[in-house]
Amino acid sequence: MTLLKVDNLTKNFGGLTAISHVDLEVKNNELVGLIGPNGAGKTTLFNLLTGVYAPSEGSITFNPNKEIHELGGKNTSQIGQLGIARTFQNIRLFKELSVLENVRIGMHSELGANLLQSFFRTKEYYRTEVEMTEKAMELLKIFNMEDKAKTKASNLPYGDQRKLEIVRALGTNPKLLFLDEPAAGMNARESHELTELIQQIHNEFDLAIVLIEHDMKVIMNISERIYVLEYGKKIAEGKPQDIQRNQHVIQAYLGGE
Amino acid sequence: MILMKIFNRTNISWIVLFILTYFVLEGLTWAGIIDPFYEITVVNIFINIILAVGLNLIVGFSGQLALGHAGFMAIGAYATGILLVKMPSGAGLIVSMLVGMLVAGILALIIGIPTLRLKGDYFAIATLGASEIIRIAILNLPDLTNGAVGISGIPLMVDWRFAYFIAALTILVVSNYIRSSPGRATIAVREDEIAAESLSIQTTYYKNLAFLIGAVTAVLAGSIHASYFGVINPGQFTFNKSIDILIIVVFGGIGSVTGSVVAAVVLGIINVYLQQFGALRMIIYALVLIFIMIFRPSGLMGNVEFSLSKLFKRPQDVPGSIENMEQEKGA
Repeated sequence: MTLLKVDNLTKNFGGLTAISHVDLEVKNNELVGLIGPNGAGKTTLFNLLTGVYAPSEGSITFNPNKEIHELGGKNTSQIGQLGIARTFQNIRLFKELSVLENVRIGMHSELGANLLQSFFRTKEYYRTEVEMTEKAMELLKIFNMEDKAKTKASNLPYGDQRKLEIVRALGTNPKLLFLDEPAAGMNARESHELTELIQQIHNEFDLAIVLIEHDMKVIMNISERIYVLEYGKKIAEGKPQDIQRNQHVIQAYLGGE
Repeated sequence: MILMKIFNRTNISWIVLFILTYFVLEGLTWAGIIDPFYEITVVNIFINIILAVGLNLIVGFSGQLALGHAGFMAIGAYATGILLVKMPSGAGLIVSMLVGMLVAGILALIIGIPTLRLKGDYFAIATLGASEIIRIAILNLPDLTNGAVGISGIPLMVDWRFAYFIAALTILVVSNYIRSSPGRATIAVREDEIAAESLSIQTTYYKNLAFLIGAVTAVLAGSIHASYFGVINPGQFTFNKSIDILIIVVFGGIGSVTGSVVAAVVLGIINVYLQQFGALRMIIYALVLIFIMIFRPSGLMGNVEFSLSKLFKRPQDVPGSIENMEQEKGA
């Protein structure tokens, strides 16, 4: 079943067309790769899909549970509440807070106590706190980060900061997860581990993943389907092996004859 | 039943601490160490604690610079000044506080809803403007507020005990708030607004909420001021007053309730000892501030909080703490 459907999506910044007439589709529980040279509009596309920018043209429909939502015109937090989470290309953690707090903040809108419960520390308040902590620790365990729960986020090594962003996004219990270059800046071993982790999330959680990545090894290994963008246009889509042989893609990446 | 839930272990330990402090103060008053002259200082410190803790919630925890805290204090002072003259009773005081809180709350939302949607300095400018508007409005409504002369002869319904009670309540409510799930959402807005939004936190809501709570607590401080000193005039609530409160917040540590309390006490005491220096007072005060900011640039407390649970090493008091969970599993 189709989870996310993008029709004829266009985004203009003044005279510049950053995204031009892009169609794409993500099915339930699918792992989709999104590649393209620098400046192709991959992150802009994520920003459109998560409500950071409003589309100039076209429609985005999201269908998490038999109810179709039009995302164009909704703001980021509304889209988040429908079940879309993301990570950021330039890490955006809550740096002064602990790892555990970072993850619990992600759970706030779903599980958090309300104001009165918080002011007066009622039983319900403690129940929600314990529930959030337990869930957060479970998630951190999957990422082998449970020992670091109390560490300040800014003190984590780079690779762990990237992983924490993913944990935090998973904490919102999303149906669709956008990962924006999760392996950027990682060494070969770290990015191999991350590939396995993404695979594991994909298998164990009931969600679809869209992955932007420059590391071709990562993307070709785990994507079920791949979309290729260049200059804001979709130039190819298909299975990894087809994309590897696609002349347009080779030209875009290597420059052809 | 509800009361039973409210009196859980953490709250009780705080309440015990507040009661102990109360008896220390009561003892000092009885022994004559806090004489009527020092009592004024003590009440001023309590007023400043309420103001600084409230402002710290806005500036330190939601990360929005507010420059008009004195305006909300003025609303509280005038609500009490006007209403308490008409009904000089304990009930009158409570009613005047509630009226002030309502007016300030509505005003805070009028300022906050349009400006807190924006990123940048709009909010700081809007609060600065609003507090000046409040002051000018008070000056130009002589029938209601007696204009520039101000109101005197306000019934003195408040003693230091009441001021202490309100200060303790403010500290308890604000520190409970910031260490709760909505409080963490508020801090997330300060830390990274875009990330917070992507985690479906309604950032505008939490910014407005922090501003609203801050504004309402400032009203309490204004009411105490009016009914303790009995004299109010618009000159007490200028931009300088807003900056004085901001100094306490920065001095104590932006994002530390403990810091605001400590700074209010320290600056209050410094001020008393500087009285004897006459005109030199402001120079020495400024030097003290400069030196402290050089040697402790993030304020006295940074963003560290005093925590009873940490003090007594009783991790079960910290909700959902890791030790707590380990103990549960062991048990």
